[in-house]
Amino acid sequence: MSYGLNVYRSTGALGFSSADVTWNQVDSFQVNGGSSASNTYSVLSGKTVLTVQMFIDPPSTSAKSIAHTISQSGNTISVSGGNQNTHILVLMK
Amino acid sequence: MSYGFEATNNSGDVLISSETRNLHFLGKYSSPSVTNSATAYGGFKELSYTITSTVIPVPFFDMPTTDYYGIVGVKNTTGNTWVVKVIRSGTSSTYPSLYVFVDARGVSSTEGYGMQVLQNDGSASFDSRKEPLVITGGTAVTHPSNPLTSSITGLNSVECGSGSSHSQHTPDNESSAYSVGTLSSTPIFHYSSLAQAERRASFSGSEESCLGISAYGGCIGYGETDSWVSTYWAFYRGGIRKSGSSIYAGWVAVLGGCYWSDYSDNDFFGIDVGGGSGGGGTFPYTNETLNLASTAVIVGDGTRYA
Repeated sequence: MSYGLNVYRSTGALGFSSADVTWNQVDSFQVNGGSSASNTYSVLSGKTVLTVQMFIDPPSTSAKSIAHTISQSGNTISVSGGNQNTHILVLMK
Repeated sequence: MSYGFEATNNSGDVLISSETRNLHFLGKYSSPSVTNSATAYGGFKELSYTITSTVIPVPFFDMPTTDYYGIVGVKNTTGNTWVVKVIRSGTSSTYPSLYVFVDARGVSSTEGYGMQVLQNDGSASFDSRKEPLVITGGTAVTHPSNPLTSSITGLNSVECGSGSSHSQHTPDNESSAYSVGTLSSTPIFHYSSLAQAERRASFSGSEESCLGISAYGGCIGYGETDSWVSTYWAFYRGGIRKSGSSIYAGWVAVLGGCYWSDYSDNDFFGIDVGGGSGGGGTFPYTNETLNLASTAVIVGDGTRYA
């Protein structure tokens, strides 16, 4: 590379480079079925945001397993509407 | 930000920030236990990976076959023990490896030098010694609402006589191709299986029998009318498969069943003399598709995390 930053490991292998791309974790939290959450993160301002939802338990085969709806308004992430316990990850780059 | 450390690439993407936490490689897990399986309708297996982590794990999986895969559960079972459940379609015993990433607080390293970025509480947000996650691509997928491209026909209406050996419920519908960028020789994927679908089809029939004398289209004496219905169903969860440099969103059949009922009505010289009814099997809970909102797929390079 002609410019940027390379960080090497003790083995000499490249550990990380400014030519890389990643998603940074802003927060992780749990939202239970029937509950909702709304969190504001100033660090999201002007950034690309990605939210990820992971069920804690596999979906039931004998009842509806409704995922939460996740929305973003400005720097606020809102989660609601599901009947399953879930992990929510807020990522940004 | 007014203070701290932030590194961006020439696209303006944040690589490292003292206000967030990079994900770092915790470990590769290749020996899951099979905790659920079925052979009907293409088959499936649910694979459980046990992980020790002090913080929430973010799992990625590789796709060693052309089957569909997805993460269906991430559970903190006790203390620092987590169980990640992955489903795959098909019945083969080739299982994906799970690549688990956590924030820097959850990974230890004995290497003596590198670069650390700390948050204002003194905990690490980035540590070059701990193999930070590098993303190679990604997309958001949406599953087709129906796992089946054609209607279900021709099954036996009598007491679920077709069983589950037929292929009428085998999922054959998938999305168009999603490009996820250039893939390494071992791409790894984070994808949570949220989409679900259930499809059913009922088949009915009836038969009249005369134990007396059949005459003029009727029955003189003792007659019996039998009617029956069988409802065949299957339950599906979303999965993704890889082909070339694209992925497709399709379905994994995880459970199938059938419910039947029958009813008989008897008459003697036209006078109703009673009857009977029966039933068996398991009835499905609903006939619809849930959670079709687009779902993120994050792609990394597994060769960096051997």
